[in-house]
Amino acid sequence: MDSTVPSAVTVKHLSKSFSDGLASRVCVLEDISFSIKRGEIVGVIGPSGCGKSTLLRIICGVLSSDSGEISVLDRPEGNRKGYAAYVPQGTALLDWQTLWNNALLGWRIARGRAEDAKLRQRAQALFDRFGLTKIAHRYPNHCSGGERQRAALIRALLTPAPILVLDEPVAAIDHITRAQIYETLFAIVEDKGQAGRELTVVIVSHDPEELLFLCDRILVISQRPATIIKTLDVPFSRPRDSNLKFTSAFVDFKKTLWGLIS
Amino acid sequence: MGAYIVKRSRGVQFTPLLTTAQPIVICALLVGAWDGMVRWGIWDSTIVPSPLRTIDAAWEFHTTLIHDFGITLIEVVSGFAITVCLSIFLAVIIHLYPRRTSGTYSLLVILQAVPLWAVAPVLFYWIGPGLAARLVVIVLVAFFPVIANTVEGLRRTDSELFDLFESMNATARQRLMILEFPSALNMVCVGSKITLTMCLIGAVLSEMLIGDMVGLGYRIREANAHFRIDLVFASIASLSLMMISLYSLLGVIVRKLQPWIVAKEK
Amino acid sequence: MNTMPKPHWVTLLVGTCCLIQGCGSKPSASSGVTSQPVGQPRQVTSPPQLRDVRVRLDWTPWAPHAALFAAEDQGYFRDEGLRVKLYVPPDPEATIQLVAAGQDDFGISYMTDVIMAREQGVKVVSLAAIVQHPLNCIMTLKSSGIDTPGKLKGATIGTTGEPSDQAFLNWVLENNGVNPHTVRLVNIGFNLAPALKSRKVDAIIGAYWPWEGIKLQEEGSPVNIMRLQDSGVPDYYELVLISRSDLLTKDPSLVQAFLRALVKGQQFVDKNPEQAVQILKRADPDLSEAFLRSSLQAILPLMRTDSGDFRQDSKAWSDMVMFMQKADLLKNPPDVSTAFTNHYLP
Repeated sequence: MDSTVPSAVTVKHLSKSFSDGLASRVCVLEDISFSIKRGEIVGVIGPSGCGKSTLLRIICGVLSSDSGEISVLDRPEGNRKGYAAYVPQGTALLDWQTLWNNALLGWRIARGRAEDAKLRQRAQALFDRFGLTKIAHRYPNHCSGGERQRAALIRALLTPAPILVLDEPVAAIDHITRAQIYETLFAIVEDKGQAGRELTVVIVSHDPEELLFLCDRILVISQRPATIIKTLDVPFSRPRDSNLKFTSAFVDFKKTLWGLIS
Repeated sequence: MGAYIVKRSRGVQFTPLLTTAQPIVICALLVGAWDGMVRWGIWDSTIVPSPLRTIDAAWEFHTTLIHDFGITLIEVVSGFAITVCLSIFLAVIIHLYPRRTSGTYSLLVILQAVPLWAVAPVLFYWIGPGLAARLVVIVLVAFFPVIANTVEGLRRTDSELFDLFESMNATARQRLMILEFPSALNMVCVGSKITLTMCLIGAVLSEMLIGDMVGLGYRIREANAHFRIDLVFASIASLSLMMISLYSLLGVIVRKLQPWIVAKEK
Repeated sequence: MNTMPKPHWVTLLVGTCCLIQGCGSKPSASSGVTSQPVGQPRQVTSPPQLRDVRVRLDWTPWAPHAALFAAEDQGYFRDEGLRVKLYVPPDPEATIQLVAAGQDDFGISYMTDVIMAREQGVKVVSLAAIVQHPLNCIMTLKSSGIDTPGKLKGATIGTTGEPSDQAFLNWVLENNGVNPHTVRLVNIGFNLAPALKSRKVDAIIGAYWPWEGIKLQEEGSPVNIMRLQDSGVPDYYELVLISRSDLLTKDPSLVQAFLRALVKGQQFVDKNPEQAVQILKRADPDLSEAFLRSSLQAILPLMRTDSGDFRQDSKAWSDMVMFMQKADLLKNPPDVSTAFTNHYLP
């Protein structure tokens, strides 16, 4: 790890357990340590129920750790809230607002005021890119799962936070739209990096191929109590083309990753 | 939830016509039975008037009844508005400061159980004659469903949404206005439907116990004192009409307030 | 009095409880009367099969009911073969309907109500005039300075809601040169005295001068009493004993037996007023002896007639019907001779 690049998230010996409703406690995360640099795209993969979502929630500041240290953007231990744009597994859209208003929610809450024309332009562009223009004024209950996920993603992309925390963000989206989304994501990360306002992305997925395509590093998590089995560096340079998926190097990595997660 | 699908009951399909005709047919049967019971002497006609006599009385006193209807309607509608606003306000305070208000909530439970006939004269002594005392009676009778439902609804936000707002470091005010209150709206509406019924009861009883000798509640009492049971029934029928209309109106308002629910049921 | 504290909910709660206790004006449904025989012990021979009789009072037991309670207490009803249950109704306004329907055998009601009921075809009959003169009046606080009805212009007047009260009031006002439309009528149910005392109303009608009048005097708020008869309202019977017509035809002996015992009870009260006070005190422990004594003293003269206890005069009935017609309380005046009878009195 290059120590000259500042860290976005640093985790040292983190542990977390929950009570199971009866007398005993279940240890979900055990002694996890890792560090994420600013501007990195890091993937997290592991079996179902192993605690990935818990880890994400701790990073976002929604949960506190039982022991160990965690710091975000080198700030001292304390309030981690407000530095991450979080997309939970269930997309968490407000039923009573249109997709458009939901998408602008992150920005509005962060800034505490209504958006300006510039942001509306950005939002419109993203809606167009993700194919949601026609249904921007529908309520989430009247949209498909994929449409909802796209809106939640736009919300995250519009939130003025330096870290993006995504929990299975494209699971319900078809592959063609996914390709567009990945492209957009790369573009945004690149733009922000050049502007000096690095965007760090943490993404959880069950799809190894997706993570290999997107990420710079992949953390492989074990079964509960979760520890990091292995950190896989993905050396392909960005921006990445979809043809990359058919190269032999990529396929080799896939095999390695499959081996790790089985 | 899901859409209301056409029912199939042993092969019979309920067409829209049949569905709307149902309550009309049932009403007609009930009125017919009522008429029969009186006509054939099963119900004493000095205690229960026949439907025809009721309609005659309604016509005979239609000016008075319309005036009374208006008075009671004003009481119910303004009482309802005040009750709902006050209850929501109190519920929000209880929600925002749970520790400081835990005693208050329990005492509100006791307050709504105080019997009406004891409360009404006391209010008269404090406030005096006029609409104000009757409105206070209505509020006291009807406030509880909305408060209880609002408090519960505010408490029951979706945990994932709650986490989202936490991660965004939202202020308590933002959380209340953007997440908790809209999320509770459904329960508030359910509570308000019950409260509407209780507002009507409160209005009628307050007119009977204290008041300026107008209104359908008072009319029932006065007609009874004159042994004009046909007018009593005509007044009761007017009250039922009011209740049905207000309830339907509230239903429409509730649906308009929550367009996302309507959209879903399409 | 002008600086009332804002009703904090605690005050409301506590105040309600205190007022419920202190008022005591809401009649509570007591479950009948069981009293020990007072006075000399009686020889009790085993009576024939007792018949059950229900009597619905108009109010909590007090002075006008002395004859009834004395008859029960001294065993006069039992001697006539009757087991009488005297009870206080939760809803005084339903007496005529319930007696007509047969739920109760006898009831205490008002002349005006009997006439209105008969107009509507409800078959009740007045058998005896328990109180032969009006108790109803217009009452004001002495401190208000309103001592004649002529000074009631623009006043707020509290009423129980009884339609006859309104008619009486309007009659009195017009007879004293006051336009009834200048007066504001407020319905306060039966809590007349507290409303007057709190000055939320300037005057009340529907209160009885031996009840609210004496009570307010006792509580330190002396009152002006403006009698209805002084302003052109005919002298009428305040309280009458009623029953349903078909009881009279089906079981006249029961009715006669009841009235015999009642008259005997009245004679006992006349001779032993102090014992009557004790009997009433046992029946209604909430009332003070002093109050019962004063009210009984005031009412006894009103219960006597020259022609014999409780007899009714047809002139009184027809005068009342005429009055009610003029006051717009009746559309089709009933035949007065069917509304009352002295036939069953001893």
